[in-house]
Amino acid sequence: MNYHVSDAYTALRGTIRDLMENEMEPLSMQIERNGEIPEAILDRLRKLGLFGMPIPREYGGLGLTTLEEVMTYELLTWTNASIRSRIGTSNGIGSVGILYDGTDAQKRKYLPRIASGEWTTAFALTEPDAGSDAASIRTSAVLEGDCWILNGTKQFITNADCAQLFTTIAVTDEVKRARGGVTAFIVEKEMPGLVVGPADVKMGLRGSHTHELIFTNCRIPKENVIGGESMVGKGFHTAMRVLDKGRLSMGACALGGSQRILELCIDRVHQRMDRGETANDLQSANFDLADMAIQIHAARQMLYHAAVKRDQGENVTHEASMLKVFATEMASKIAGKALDLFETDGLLTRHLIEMYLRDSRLYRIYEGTNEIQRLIISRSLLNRKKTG
Amino acid sequence: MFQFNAMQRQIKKAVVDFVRGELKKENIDDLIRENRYPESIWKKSSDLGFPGIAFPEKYEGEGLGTIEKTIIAEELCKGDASIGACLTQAGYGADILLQYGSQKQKETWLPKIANARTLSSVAAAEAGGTGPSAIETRAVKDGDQWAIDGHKTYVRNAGPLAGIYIVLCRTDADADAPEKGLSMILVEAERSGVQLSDSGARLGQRQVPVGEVRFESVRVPLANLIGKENRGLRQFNAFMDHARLMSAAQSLGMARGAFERAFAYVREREQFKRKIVDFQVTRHKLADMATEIEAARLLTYQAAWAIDNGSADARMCAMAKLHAARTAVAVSDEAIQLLGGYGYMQEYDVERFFRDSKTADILDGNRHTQKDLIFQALIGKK
Repeated sequence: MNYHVSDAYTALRGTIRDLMENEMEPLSMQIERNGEIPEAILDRLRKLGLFGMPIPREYGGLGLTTLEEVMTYELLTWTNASIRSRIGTSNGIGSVGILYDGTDAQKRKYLPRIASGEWTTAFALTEPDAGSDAASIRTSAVLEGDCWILNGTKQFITNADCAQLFTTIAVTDEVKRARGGVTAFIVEKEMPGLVVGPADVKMGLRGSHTHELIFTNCRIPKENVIGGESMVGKGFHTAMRVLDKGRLSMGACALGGSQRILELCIDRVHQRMDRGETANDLQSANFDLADMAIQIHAARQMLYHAAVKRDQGENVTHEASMLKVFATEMASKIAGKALDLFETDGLLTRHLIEMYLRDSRLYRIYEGTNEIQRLIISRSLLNRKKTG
Repeated sequence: MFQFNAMQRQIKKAVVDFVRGELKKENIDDLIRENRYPESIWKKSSDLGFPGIAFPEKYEGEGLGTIEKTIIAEELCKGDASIGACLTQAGYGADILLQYGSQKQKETWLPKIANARTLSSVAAAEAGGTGPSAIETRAVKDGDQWAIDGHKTYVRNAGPLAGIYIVLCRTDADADAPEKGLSMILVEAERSGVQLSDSGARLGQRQVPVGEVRFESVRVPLANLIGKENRGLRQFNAFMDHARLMSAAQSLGMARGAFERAFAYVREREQFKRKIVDFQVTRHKLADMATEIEAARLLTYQAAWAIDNGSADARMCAMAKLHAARTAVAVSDEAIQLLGGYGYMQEYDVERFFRDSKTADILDGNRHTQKDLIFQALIGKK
């Protein structure tokens, strides 16, 4: 199968790879230690247009295909997963709602500043009591004159500390709820009544922060309903479409990090052979390398296949969910085996493996836990049988 | 099938009470967050005799055995993986002294370990790996002293609380095989030339001090040799059988602790208008976890019983370590998954249980090492 990318993208890809290997790599441990991505490196990525990958050129974006975008996430996860999280969240769940369903005016107003990286975006759906069960969110929006008044608490919101724009999902009709009573809003950071809580202390992804968001009588102008008045009540659909694409990105991250671990493990086996361990001493380790490569190859085909299919305008919900489960569980397995291969060195952060293990653990949880993916996949299988 | 006797049941209860009183969240939160050694909890644990539980009474121990030691490790690590790992490993290497040490070495150090006045430490691994051929640290006789030079990595308990390092050194550079010319030498922490540096950020068991220890022309009396010259590897391996069993006990406790936390969470948390525990997939996950834990428990106590009954068996210790470590990693990983987003947050403990478990899985011989040992036992090679 031929995975076609444009010449312009091929050139960009070379530049990103260079940047990641030569400039990002030395910063990776600094990001892990300080928990912050240096602004200078973010500026480099902004200038390359990486904050506007799927945004059409007319709005100042790169207008990349899905395939090109996921290939970029693969590269970005190579050195430090927090970089991908920052950029991927802004390109993805934080802003694609506007891209898919926004009015022309909303697109003209917001997309150029998102594409330039001047504004970072975030997606606010999850709540303390509504995780996997997103339809049970309680944050409410009530229309009062020209404004919607938002009240409620959102949780684990990636980029909350650096975002200027929050794609926020709230209940506008308590009776209809997910069936016509949920609406997607564009909330700007400066709108009164929005407070960002303290950062969560997480297992990994130390350079990418999640926070609570508290809306207290937060006034949102009517024109900030994504898609305008006709989209009031249709926000659950927007949210689910947003997550669909996010699952492809998750697959790409799991793949990029796993590929890097495989490379580190190959180097390690060479080192161990140089120290006198024989091929037979390392046979199980070598088989582990083989297993890693097999899974990585399979995940890459799943990812590129789903991306191309999506670029051809087809629905990829089923494929995206399968990819998300396969690739993210692969990432955990590979990091675990790599740790075995590195012995006690693997336990030390400076050898990178344990950082990948902690960072990649989140992929099985967010943007829909793998249990939710399995629910989606199995339902789609059973429905197919019934109707087909 | 063995059962705990009255004394063992009493000890188990004492540990459970200790955990309830001393390992309360409010007591340990700061230690966990700041990666500090639980010094006062360690001291209190010695009031109950935990560190010296298996030392003879003449060394101020309790004169009990391996099963009792296993019970303590299991319950402490169930209470809290990180604090449990600190307390269980506080006397790491003391068994070497007990087994092979001179009268004077035992009299000097075992009471201090039992009374939580010093941590003990074993310095074996080097940058080249954990196998005997990797050991480059040299000890050379010079008059009535050993002169030691070398660099050890990932030394647990290294730091201001450690009184001694039991160092695996090469004492015969001309031995016909790399495993033959090794000896164990006791190096007091305050000897000049012992240099410590912190190993830096790491995956788990972050409250256990871990360092790199460099020995630069360190001089100790010849009498600091432990056991027999050039028989260090054999002694070390015998100790490692015991260390592996204790690691299995820690993993067993960590697995139970993670299970208990996840079980409580799924019975509380509602999604889709029902408790998560009411979903079949959740129930089956719990059943799998419980089954693996039960198998780990049986393997661990069987190996402990064998040691106490004079039929110590390297194979059983390695199997217990392999299975219990794997179980703790799998169970705590599943616990994270059951807690969802909360599972990824440090506040909810299970991610720490996972990191601590994976650390135990790698330490004291990783899975490859355990499998090598099991196979050697299968073909009768010692």
